Amino acid sequence: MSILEYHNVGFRFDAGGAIALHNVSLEITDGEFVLVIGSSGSGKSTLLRAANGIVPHTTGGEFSGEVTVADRSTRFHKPRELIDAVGFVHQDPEAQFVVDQVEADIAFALENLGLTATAMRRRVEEVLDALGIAHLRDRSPATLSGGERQRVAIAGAVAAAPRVLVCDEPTSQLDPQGAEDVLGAIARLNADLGTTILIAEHRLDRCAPLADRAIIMQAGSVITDAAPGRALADYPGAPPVTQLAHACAWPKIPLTVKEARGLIDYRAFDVAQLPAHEPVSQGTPLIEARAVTVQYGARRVLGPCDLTIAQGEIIAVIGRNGAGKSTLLRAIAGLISYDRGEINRTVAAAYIPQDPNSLFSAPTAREEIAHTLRLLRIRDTGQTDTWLDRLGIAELAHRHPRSLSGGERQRLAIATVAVGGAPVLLADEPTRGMDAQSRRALERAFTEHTASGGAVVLATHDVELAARVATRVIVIGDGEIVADGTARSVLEGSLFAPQILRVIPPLLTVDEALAARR
Amino acid sequence: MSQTAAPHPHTIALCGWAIGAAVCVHIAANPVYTTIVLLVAVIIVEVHRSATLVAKAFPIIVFISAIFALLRVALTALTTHGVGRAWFTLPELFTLPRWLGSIRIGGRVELATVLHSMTEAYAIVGFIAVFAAWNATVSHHEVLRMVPRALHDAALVVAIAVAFVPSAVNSFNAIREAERARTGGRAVRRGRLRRTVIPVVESAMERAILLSESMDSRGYGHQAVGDGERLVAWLCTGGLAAVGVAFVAFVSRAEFVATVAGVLGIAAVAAAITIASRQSDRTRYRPVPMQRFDYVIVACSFASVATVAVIASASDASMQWSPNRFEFPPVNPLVVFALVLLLAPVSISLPSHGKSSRQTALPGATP
Repeated sequence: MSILEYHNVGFRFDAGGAIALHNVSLEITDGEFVLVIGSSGSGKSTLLRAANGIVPHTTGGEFSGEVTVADRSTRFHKPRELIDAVGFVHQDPEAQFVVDQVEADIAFALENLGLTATAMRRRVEEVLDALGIAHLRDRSPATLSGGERQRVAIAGAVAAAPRVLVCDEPTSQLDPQGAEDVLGAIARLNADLGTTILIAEHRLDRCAPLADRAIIMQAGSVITDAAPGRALADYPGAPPVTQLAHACAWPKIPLTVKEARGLIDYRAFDVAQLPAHEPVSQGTPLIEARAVTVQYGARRVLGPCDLTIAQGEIIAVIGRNGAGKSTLLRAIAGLISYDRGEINRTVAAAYIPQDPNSLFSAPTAREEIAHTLRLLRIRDTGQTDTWLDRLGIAELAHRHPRSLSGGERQRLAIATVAVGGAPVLLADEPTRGMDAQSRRALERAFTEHTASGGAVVLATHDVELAARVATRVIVIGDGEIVADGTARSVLEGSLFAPQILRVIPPLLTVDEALAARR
Repeated sequence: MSQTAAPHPHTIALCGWAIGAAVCVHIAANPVYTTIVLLVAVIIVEVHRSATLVAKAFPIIVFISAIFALLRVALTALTTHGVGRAWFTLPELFTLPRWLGSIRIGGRVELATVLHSMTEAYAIVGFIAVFAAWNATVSHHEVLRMVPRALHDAALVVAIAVAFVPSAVNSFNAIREAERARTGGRAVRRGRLRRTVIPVVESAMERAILLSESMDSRGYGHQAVGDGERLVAWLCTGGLAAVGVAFVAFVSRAEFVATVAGVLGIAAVAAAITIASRQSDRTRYRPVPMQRFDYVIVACSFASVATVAVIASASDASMQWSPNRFEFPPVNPLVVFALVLLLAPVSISLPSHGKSSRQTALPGATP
């Protein structure tokens, strides 16, 4: 029985403007877990927002066709009237809280529905247990970690027991542990309570195995609607094991490491051809940090740390949230003072913050990049165009920075800082919330930057990124460097190793695996 | 686990305390009494402060009020002449035009004027410190839940605005750091205001849009508008107009008209709130009941106000201190005792209350 139906749905935000949705027809069955994927700007968010009528009731715009949820048309019912049919979760958990206490915030929807005190009490307790957040009930959302906040936001959305839960990239701003917790909670809602899930997500390695069906969108249209394995086979952002299976034409397409191990023929790969020893770095040192220690009050958050950044290096700094990654980068950039040790910079270092929005104040992307040159009193001799091209955002040059997608904003932020000409780029979580296309553009830009004599340091949770581009990987734990070496030597044997390494050790990436095919 | 070391006073109890303390400061305008209320406010903040960013604003609010108080003293000293003996004389700067009252700036500075102005300014600092202490200890979402249902929308706007403060502060800090990151750590002053304000405003607007979507998806404004909406609107408008008439009549010393209009106006507004609240289907989740110690706090605050008011009505010399020279203000021990009663909220955190029936966690408390 279908619970959510799209009939020839079309949408434009402005009359005569670009098409956001084009003739979309879908039928989602009660209890299904449906994954929506596609590059930035492909129409995923618009499709999701149409499920409960945010599009067009809140956004305005030209809407055609019809969306029905639980036999009610969104043409005639506003989002607030569909609270018992659809719950909605945004990617930014902070923007969803109305009340400054977890328990009271969850009850917000129930108070709006006018439920009795007894019914509300029971429902809140059930939701707290279902999401595993009972211990957070008295806390303020502002004091929670990202993963906890998003689970509280989900609890607020499902408090009214909607039959469909719509999640728009709920893990895009979370670290791997937080994302794991959130996806686990969503999977439990689907499996235990039978809630239908419609989710847009970039973390396909975690999310795809949970889905019953995957929908790929492009330019506002649904181009693929199939089982996840089939749908993702030739999708550029698919998990590495899926990409490998497709490239090697395996009879079945795996989505997880476990499935891949069951399908692989190890005789087809010659791993002996890898070099026995990979040198860490041979470039000229650009920045040297010696015994750097940072304290916040009496608490030591970093160090003592020794780090040399040499020409041509791409260094991935990995570690859990709060381990000291960002502090290390900010200390090297000179944005925070350090308590002990010394940092010798022979060249300039530029820091690219986690939140790209904190940089934007110009009316267009091009103006934003050019503004950095004006601030530094540097004449623009083509640097703006170089960085627009390098990061694949030349076509977006005339757009307002805030009108760009998350991945596009991140790339613009990198161009905005990098155009200043600093040879050492320090990027904090640069791939957070990025689609596959944006990630590829970013990797290319970093490789080109190092090839031209610079160096890049990335603080990241993305081990697949580290495996693909890093010449060196550093692991930080409790403020100290606990491992430092080539990507292979550090990631081999790690619990958080990239997928290919866990299937065909010591190979790291799909490209390496394909090159090692007999 | 939530922090449950000490019971937290009920929001109504804290409101009662704040009103009591503010009225005491107003009636007993004596620096010694104001100092006692200030100390009480500081102690209560130390004991019952919530863990939110708003709570940390207590010293900042008091500091800013002190600066404005000093400014007030300086302006009064420079513009008020002919009240007492000259303390010292400054050069006369200028005299304002006749249509601005021909006020002379500078010249004689009189000790009586300065001391009187300082006493008043200090009382204002005490008054604001009481408000800041209430702000630092109360849970804003509890205040939101306590307002009549008819005023829920207005209160929600305030609650959301308060909730936006921490993120706006974080956003401001991130923007300042991002700006330095952009220029390789170099501070560029030219256009910095624009580069700071625009991202803060745009980020806040983006968040506001997401919040509105989220609230809409969670059933906010779910109920249809009731039939009595027009009656409520008329009652409210008429009531507020009557209160305005009462104020004008009061200023004009037409006491009978002021009393009648005031009573009618307040009654009309109260009726409008009651009718509108009854029309709303909105329910309340887990209203927190008052405990015995909450009633004790309200009773102590009331007793404090009553005692101070009775002593003031008996023309006690210490209540309105207006010195002509440097001297220690007169102090009535009974007033001191009455003001010490305002420490009642602190008493519930003493060991004897350790096993209270309401171990309310502080808003925002972390494990």
